[in-house]
Amino acid sequence: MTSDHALIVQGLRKRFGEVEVLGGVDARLRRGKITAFIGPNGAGKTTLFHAVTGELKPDSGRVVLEGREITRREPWEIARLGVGRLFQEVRVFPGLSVWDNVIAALQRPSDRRLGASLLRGDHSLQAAKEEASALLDRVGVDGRRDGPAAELSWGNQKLLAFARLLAGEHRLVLLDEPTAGVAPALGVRLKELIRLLAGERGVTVGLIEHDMKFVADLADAVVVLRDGKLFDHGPTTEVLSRPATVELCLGL
Amino acid sequence: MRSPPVEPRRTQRAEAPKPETWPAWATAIAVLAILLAWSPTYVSHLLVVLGIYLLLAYSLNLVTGFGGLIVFCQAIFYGIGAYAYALSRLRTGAPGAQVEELLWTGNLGWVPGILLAGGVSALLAGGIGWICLRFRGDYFIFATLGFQMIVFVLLYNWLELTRGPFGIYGIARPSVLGWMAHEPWQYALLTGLWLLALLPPLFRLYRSPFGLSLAAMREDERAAKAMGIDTNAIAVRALAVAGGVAGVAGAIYAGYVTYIDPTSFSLRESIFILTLLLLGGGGNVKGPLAGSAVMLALPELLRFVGLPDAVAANVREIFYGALLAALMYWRPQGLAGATSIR
Amino acid sequence: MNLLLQLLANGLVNAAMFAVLAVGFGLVYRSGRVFHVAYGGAFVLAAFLFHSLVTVAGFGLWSSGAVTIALGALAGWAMEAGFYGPFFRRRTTPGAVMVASLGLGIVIENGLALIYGDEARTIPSPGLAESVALGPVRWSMIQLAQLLVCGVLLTILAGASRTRLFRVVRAMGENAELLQVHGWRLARYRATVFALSGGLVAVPACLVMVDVGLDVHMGMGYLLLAAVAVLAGGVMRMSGWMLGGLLLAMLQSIVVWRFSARWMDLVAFGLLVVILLSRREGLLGIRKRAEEI
Repeated sequence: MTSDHALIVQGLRKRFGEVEVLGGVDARLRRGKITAFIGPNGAGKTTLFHAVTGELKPDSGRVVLEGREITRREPWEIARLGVGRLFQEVRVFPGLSVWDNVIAALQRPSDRRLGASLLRGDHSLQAAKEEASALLDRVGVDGRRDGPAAELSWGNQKLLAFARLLAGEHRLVLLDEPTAGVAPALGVRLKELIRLLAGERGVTVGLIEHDMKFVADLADAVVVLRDGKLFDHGPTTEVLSRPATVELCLGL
Repeated sequence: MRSPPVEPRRTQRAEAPKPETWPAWATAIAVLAILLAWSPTYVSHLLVVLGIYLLLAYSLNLVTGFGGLIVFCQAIFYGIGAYAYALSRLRTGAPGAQVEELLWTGNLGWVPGILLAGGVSALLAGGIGWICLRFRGDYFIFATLGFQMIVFVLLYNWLELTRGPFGIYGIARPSVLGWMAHEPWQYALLTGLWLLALLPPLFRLYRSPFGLSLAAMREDERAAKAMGIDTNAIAVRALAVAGGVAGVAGAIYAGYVTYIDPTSFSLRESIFILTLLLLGGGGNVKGPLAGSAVMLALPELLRFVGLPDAVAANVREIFYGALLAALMYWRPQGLAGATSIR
Repeated sequence: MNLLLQLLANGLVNAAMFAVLAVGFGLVYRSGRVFHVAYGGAFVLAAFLFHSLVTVAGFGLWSSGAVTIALGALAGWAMEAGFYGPFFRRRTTPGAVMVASLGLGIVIENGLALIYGDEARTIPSPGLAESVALGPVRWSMIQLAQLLVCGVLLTILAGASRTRLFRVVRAMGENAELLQVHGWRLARYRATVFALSGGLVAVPACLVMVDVGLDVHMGMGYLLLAAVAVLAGGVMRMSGWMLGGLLLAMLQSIVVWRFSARWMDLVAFGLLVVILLSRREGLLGIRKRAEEI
């Protein structure tokens, strides 16, 4: 177990009734690098992310984050340990304003406590406004910022979710199909933002994608899943040139 | 890479208007003074009742409006507060033969009695909340309803503790340093003081990171958890706060009417408080006020219309029921609320 | 010992009635996640219709019962057509529908109060108070009627659970959109489910009215019994609902024997909380998919 790896997944298994969704998956994500997870639909990629972030408790196996075991912990505990998540369905807070979506992400657990909130009221929220504004500009969210987030276009909702991710100062982020349903121009911006995360900030990035060109341009390493098991893994150029892998993924 | 603009754009945050709008409050107080002069007893009574229900509505707002959790048990926190106050002060009131019957009575002062009431209710609410929050959705709602029934049955049947349906009479009135309240306007004033003491901190919570986290949980619990929010913990705490404030409301009620029995704290009452909040709307400061005003004005209006008493209660209930259904269909966010029920 | 046996025998009769109540509620809940709070209203509506048919219109007990069941089914259908249907089409959130349903229940209850008053009504039925001994226990004729009618009904229901209607009901609860895509006309099935529920609830309503009588405000209590039976027994299967009813009735009897009747209501909810705390899915439930939290 080298200290190169921010995230290590060992032998994760998860069964739903008859179906074994994860059949013993191993994976390692190197710190500060972008690792893509590819494979056919139903291969278990999103399930794997759920297991890492705590939304799903695996039946067996381990998840180790920066040397610390996080298997079967609660999602909020894992988030506080530095793991960020972009959901496939995005999941902005629809009724909250665009501002509040980001401001909520900027709060620290200590601010959110009952006692602290009683004492300082909206103090930390006010203080967060400028930072929220800067983040929204950086990411380039277009739309009424004091309006409900549900009114944003799909692409802007994705950007908003990304802004929330940046606000959280995570050390590992898991992005579930970031480019799904977005126009190519937005895809380019997302690519830049992801590179920014990994490069400038040294964040470890895991990403599920179906867009092979996106993967080829962006990812340093690739993990291929099939039927809940590891099919292939390695540096991007190598993996994407192997015929078996190409065949599997073209079958998408 | 597109470079960010040189200056950050002017910030603007969408939130409920703050209650510190002095001209409006000054006018309201002036109107109140006039009404009080016109009919002191009646108007004072209305104010006390309004004050109690404002406490109940604003506290429930934290859990239901901000947290998005529908609960059917607010009345038991109200009731436990009333009983805690009543019992803890009984020896200083006009208890009669009751003290021999009852398991526990005390002779606390007025403020300690109220604080005890709030504390006991807060603890109970936190405990019940912790159990119910193991579930979500219908199961959660039904669990709160279950506890409403359980505690009501206990209040009704545990005669050694509460005298059950016979109720507790001769409850001690508010008193400070020898002076005891006995005029209606004095009660109204004291109720107003408790509102001044409890509502600003409550509103502060609404606007704080705690309140924002509750709202995040309401909007999307999974996303909130992914942001590091321990949703169970904040929900339990919100319930504890709501329970505590409801307990104080109960203590005020007990000290005002000087006789309580369990029927005031039944499921019907929980439904009433919930209706009040849903009517006015949750998630902000205006909503509960609107709801309380309308729901309390209604019986008074019906009284002026002159329906015979036997029928009035049923007509009122029909109105409430129809209103609830209509609201959920046409205006789930209520008259003045910020959010809709999920 | 004899007292316990007698109480258990009473419990058995109650179990049959609770089971029918539970099935009426469970069908609606299972088919669309609708927490049919107005079910309590449907209960008292049926009971008082029955009362009027017998005491005012002068029909016999059995014919009144049959008419009431038919009217109950009609009322159920009307609730779907005029109330729940519009909410479904509007895609109102479940919480809001539950609250609206509560409103409907309150309207029905108090509407009946305007007609019948708030006091309890009974049906004088001298012949039915006689009792029959079966070993150490006695059942009144009414209790026997309750046991037999509900027992037969439950048997029919158990057998019917294999029919297409019931399979559709279960499927609707799982994945309504998928069914619609494949062309099933959900509205019609929903209406049928509500009609069935209305007819079913009329049976215990009439039986209780004839036995001890009811007042218009007791609907909520019976709704809660039904809901506890369904949630505790397991939402997924009809056998769970019936089991829940049995458990509830037996537990009530034991509580009455060991403590006193005053604590019976506590039993219902205490039971529910305990079961749900130990097994989230209820006694016979099936674990739902993880995404379906």
